Amino acid sequence: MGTSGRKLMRGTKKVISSAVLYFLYCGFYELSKSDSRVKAEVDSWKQGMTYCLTCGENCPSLTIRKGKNGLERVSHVENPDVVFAFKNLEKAFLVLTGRQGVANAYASHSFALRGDIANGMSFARCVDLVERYLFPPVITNHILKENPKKQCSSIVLYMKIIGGTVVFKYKAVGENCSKKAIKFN
Amino acid sequence: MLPKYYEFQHGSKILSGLFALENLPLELKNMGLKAPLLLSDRGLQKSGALELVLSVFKENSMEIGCMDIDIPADSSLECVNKIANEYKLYECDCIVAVGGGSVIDTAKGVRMVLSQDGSDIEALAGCEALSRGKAVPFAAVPTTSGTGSEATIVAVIRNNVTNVKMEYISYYLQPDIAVIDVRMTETLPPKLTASTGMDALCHAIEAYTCLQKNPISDAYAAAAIKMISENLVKATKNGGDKQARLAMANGSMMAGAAFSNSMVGIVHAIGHALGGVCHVPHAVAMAILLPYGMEYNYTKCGDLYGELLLYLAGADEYASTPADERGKKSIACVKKLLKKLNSLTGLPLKLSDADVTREDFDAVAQAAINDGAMIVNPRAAGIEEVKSIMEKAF
Repeated sequence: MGTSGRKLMRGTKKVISSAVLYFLYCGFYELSKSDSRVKAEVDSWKQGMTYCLTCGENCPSLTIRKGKNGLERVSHVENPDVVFAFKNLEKAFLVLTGRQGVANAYASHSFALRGDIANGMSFARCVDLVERYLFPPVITNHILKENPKKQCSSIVLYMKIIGGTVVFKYKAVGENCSKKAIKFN
Repeated sequence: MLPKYYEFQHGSKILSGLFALENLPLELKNMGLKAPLLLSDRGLQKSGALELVLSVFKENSMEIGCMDIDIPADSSLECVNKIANEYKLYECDCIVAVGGGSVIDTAKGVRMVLSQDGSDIEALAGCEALSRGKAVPFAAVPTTSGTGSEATIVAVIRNNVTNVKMEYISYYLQPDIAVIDVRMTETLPPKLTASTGMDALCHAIEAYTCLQKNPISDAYAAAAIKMISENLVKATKNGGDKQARLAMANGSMMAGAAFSNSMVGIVHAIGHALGGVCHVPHAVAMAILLPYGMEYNYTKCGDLYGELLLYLAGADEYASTPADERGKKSIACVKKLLKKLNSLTGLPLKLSDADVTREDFDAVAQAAINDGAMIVNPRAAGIEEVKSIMEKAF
């Protein structure tokens, strides 16, 4: 593949990653209200807790904060409590397209984690649960260690996400600097 | 099967065997170093091991820049921050850690703070998130054959506020030099020899079976298991058996190198939690939990346990056992070894013998599922599964 083809491919992957991160947040938000396990995890977080997931330098990212009214998507925070920083877009893309689970991504050194690992584990468990709903069993059988039982239907979740998107329910809070790269010391 | 992607690093220079310690000052001088910060603990001062190290430095005309021997059994964030300040105050240029896991992990924490020009280690928590930073040369002289900390990229440091053992994982934590000298381990009492040896065995078995395993970590793990299986009882029975001691020290180091690159699983996750919540010594927790952790993971990695029978029991036993029974036989071998060590030293076999109560189970299970080791365990485990393992081990 030539340079321009690679550039085009990278651009496409960024767009898809951005879309998947959005749906990941939407699923996370809805399940924090309807799935007891996700709710319990979020309840255990301190108020104002922020998690950031970045797909590499100059790549899409997702920042989630526990606000007064539950989870909110924020465009940018200066110093998130926990950062999952994928080492490059290719590694992130494997996870975001359901070809690799979080545990296997960790095992293959796909991301660095800044912050307390215990807090990171809670977020990782939530991502597993959200993936269980968003991806079909043919994918989750492959990427999750086990398929946890769903507490509501994936179709219902999708409908909620579509409805929420139409009314801008998942709009990011704060300034728009979602492409800011997270750089380690 | 080869993993689709893996990383492996073992960058420490190993000085192993006869008069290895005597070579340390020269190694440091060759690196242009003059003023080591020496870390150790009071127990080693009493046993005479520290005096030997100090003599070696004196004989080789190398002055100690600063010495701190007040490191607690469980290293803490405060302890690390305090020693990092001492390093700066006394203008040291390298770290020499003489001790068990706590001392070496403290040294790693100090190195982390100094290399990142920081003042608080808590702010540096994470996994593979640090850059190399400033060079702080670091030599480790292990005095137990268990933690393998002299070969690992991991440090476990206790947060006394939350009662949680925090994990730090970075390729820049690995010591530059590891000194394996049996004079440092020969005064280790039989019970500690037994428990720390089981810790090393646990490192190797979990390294061989966790999700991050790779062909190089497998090679280190298998060699470590063979060495430990053949020598742990000998070293426990007769602490003066230098061959067995040296084999145990090497086995522990190799197990450390293995798990440093493939990580450990549910046994360590629960063990860290037991240490944080109930103050159960890490090695004792590992010894008690190992067979129960293996039984829990059996459905996911029974075949891998089967492969390990060769190293746990030898070629004859392996050959005479049908392939589908080898995994179970490996677990039985570990149990048999534990019983032998129990009869020799009184090493606890149950959590109830280690001052754990059922009232602790909830707190331990909660801490265990938040431990980083849980993510690479081959089988998923939540609070109920962890409690079930603890109940079996109680």
